[in-house]
Parts: sequence; C-alpha cells; structure tokens
Amino acid sequence: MLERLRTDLTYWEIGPYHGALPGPMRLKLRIDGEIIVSGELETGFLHRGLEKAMELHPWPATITYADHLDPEAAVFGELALCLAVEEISGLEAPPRAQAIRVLLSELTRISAHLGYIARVGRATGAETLIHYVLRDRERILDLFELLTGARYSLNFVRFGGVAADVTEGFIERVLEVSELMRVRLKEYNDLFTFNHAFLLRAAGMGVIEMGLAFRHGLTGPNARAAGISFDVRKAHPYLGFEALDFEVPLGHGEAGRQGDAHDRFLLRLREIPQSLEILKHVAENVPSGEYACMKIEREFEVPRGEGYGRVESSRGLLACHVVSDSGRFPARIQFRVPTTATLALLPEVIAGLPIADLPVLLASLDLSLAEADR
Amino acid sequence: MELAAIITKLNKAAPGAVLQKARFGRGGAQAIWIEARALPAVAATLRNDPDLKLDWLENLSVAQLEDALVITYFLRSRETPLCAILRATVTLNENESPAELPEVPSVREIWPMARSMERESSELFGIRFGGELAAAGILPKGWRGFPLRKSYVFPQEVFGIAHSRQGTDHA
Repeated sequence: MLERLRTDLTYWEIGPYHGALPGPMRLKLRIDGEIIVSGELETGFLHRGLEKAMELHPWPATITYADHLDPEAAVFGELALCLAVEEISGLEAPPRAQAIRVLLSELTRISAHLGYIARVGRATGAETLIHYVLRDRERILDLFELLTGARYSLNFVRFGGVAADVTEGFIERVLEVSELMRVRLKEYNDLFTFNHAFLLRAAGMGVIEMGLAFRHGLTGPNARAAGISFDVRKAHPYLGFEALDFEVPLGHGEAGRQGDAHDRFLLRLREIPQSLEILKHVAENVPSGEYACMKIEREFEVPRGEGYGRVESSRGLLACHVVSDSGRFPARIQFRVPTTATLALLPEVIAGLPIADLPVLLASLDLSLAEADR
Repeated sequence: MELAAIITKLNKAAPGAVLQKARFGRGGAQAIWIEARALPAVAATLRNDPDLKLDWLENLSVAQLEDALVITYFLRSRETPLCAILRATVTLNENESPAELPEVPSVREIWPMARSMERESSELFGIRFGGELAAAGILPKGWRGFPLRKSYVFPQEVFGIAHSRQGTDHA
C-alpha cells in the first residue's frame, strides 16, 4: 500500500554571504520538499552611496566612482559617464581615443564573459573549464595592465578622450591575444558547451521567456537569449560602432528552450568571437593623432545642462543621466544598470525550480550586486 | 514621428496635460513636460497609441533642482525606433511629515518595468509613487532620511559606527 508523504513548507534563508550567491544578497525561499515554491530577495548589502558620493566630488573624480559601479567591467561605467558629460560640454573625443575606448570596451566584454563562463563552470562542477577560462582571462588582464597600469579598476577613460596613449606593443598583443582566443573558444566548445553533463544541468532550466524579459525591462545577453534583439551598439551607436561589422547573436533554444540557462551560456560564448572581430578590425586601423581633446584639470567645470550616455555593457543597457548646474561639482549623476531588471524577475524564475538548480541558475543570470546596489 | 504630432495626440487624450516641450542635452532630443497628475493618462496614450507604441520604459531618473524634484522617463518602442523623454516635477516641502511626502502617480500598471525603478527613487528621494513609500532594498534596513535629496544631513553615527566627513575638502 502506498503511503503519501505529507510535508510542510520549509523556509530557507541563504546569504548575505554564501558561495552559491553571485554577491552579497539574501534569498528567502519557501521550499516544498526540494522544490522552491517562492522566493524573495533582500539586497543593498553592497550599497556604497556612489551616486551621492559623485555629487560631493569634483567632476574629474567622478570617473573613479563610476569605475567602481561594476568592478568586473569597470570601463562601461566610466564610458557611460564620460559620454553624458561630453554631450553637455560639447567635448569630442578624437578618433584615436575612440579606437582605444572600443578596444577597452570589447576586451572588457570578453573578460567579463570569461568570468561568467568560469562561474557557470564552478556552479556545474566543471573544474577543468574554470582553470582554462581563468588562465585565458589573465591574458586580457595583462593587456589592461599594459595599457592602464591596473588589472581591474582601470580608471582610464576621461572626458574628451582617454588618460594616455597606447603603450608600446599593446596593439600587437591585442591582435595576438585575439588569435589565441579563437583557438581557446574551440577548446571550450569541445570541452563543455554540448557536454552531456552540462546539458543535463542547464538545458531547459531557468527559462526566461520573451514576455517576462520584456515586462521587467531585461537587456543584454540575458534578453537576447530570450529572443529580444536589442544591443545599444546597434540601436544607438557610439564610439563609431555603426561603422563596424558585427552580428548580434540571439538565443534559439538549441539544446532545450529559448531563454534557458544553456542559451544564456551559449549566447555569451557566441558574443566573444564578435568582439574578437571588432578588436581585430579596430586594432589594425587605430588612427594616428591625439588621445584626448584636452587635458582635464582638477578645476574642470561642466556648463549648465543635461546629458544622457548609453553603452552596451557586458550585462546589457547601462545608461547614465548627468545633470550639471554649472561649476565644479555635478548636480546629479544617475545610472540605469542592467542587473536591476534581472533581480526584479528572479523571484518569478526561481519558483518551481529544484533547490539543486539554484546555484546554476544564479550563475547563468550574471548578476552584479555591485552595480545593482551602487 | 514628429514631436509636435505626439504632443497633439497627448493634448487630445489628456487636455491640459502637456506644459511645454524643451530641449534635452545638445543632441537635439526634446523632452515633453507634463503635469504630474496627468501621468497615467499620458503614459497610457504613449504606450497604446498605434502610431507611438512607446511600450518600454528604459530609465526613470530623478534629480533635485532647487526645491523641486524632476522626474524623467526615458521611453522607447520595441517595434519602432521611436524614443521620447517625458518629464514631470513635484515640489518639495523639507519640513514635511511622512504623510506630506511628495506624491506622483505610479506608471507601473502601464510600464511594468517601472516597478523596480519607482521603488528605488522612492527609497532614495522619499517620493510616494501611487501613494506608496516603498523600499527597494538599496539602503540598509533602518536607514533614516532620503540620501539623494540636497538637504540630506549625513548622520554622525550609523548603526553604532561613528561617521565623520571632516578632513574631506570636497563638499
């Protein structure tokens, strides 16, 4: 005779610090057996008051704060801020500076995507992949160090240009690393992408449907995996992206369903060759000339006005709204960050998921608590 | 679609709602200033009109200019390249009681992605969107005041930890 097991819902709290979490956050889960019934989030543990701090510092110092918006992809915060300030000030970065900015952007995108692949590898227990990917990401961090002196918080973009010209051998090494990455991508694919064990963990899991993605304003690779074809580099070209030839991959649910964890992984893997293509073209055609239109002094003032800068960060649409009432200090700097939307839809995605899938889901969503909390 | 045509549609749907159009930045973009109380009607027109279909709230930004909070909605369409900027203001009364905090109608029923953005602005500026003072979870629990207001006074002590801005010459 079969006996039905009756269990009560249990309540789990995970965080704010836990190895399975993408950063400091608290997950409050209601669980039925091993199935998550519902989940709530508590964030704010990484709030540093960045936007307020920017209002209290002179304009040139704000770049340092923008740099800390998302430490893993520091350039994008700097860039969005600089584009907005340049709009107000009427500054125009010279073509050489634009090319250096594109190189930095795409190297950062690849670096952040490699970090993502390593995190998904860790969540699924693919130790070999983690070591391969982090080994290769080091090569990109070496390039950052060669150009800016820093490996993570680059603090290199400036109003009207960049902080310095390219160092000797930088361009050649960008081309070298690009070639190497093409070979490595094949290795990752052979090793992992359609690996049976990985498919069992990721295919069909944590599906974000197009409607759900749109309802929460999701952008970036997560939205593109769900079928939303939006990339700021195409929709609102900046830094001369309109003249560059690259494709924007979309998710098709090749191994499971469109918008599942596998699609999100695959999409990033497919964005890397597009970035490599851009790097190759730009590195081979860096224009000569100045790297900045003027030297920005500590007393730099921004005229009264407003600007709005948009960039495609490694996680999606990163926008910066800047208001100046003239003078040495900003009146308001506001960031629209892609992770806010991802966090907003998380409770809907985790409902119905087995608890064992939670680490894989969280890794596949590429959350940056640093940018969400600011 | 020309901005003038959009304004004509808005005037028809919500008479008196549009206050003015004004330049935004140097890029040629224009912002439509509206009465805050007319936000739901204006938002519904912008989203539902078949020629506009501005169904995506890209960003919601709040800035304090003197004694007013300026709320800016950056809109775009999924189906067309159309973008628009919508703005409304509310006046601040710095000695307000919690019940007197500035109120702005919510647009989350029209643009669902507004929910998290409104919560964030509510927490940092003390605006009641749709009559509700929400916490987005950006600030630690128990935080007092609205840090992005210009009148915000930094606390001397936060959760038992002394805090001082002495020695910083910036502000």
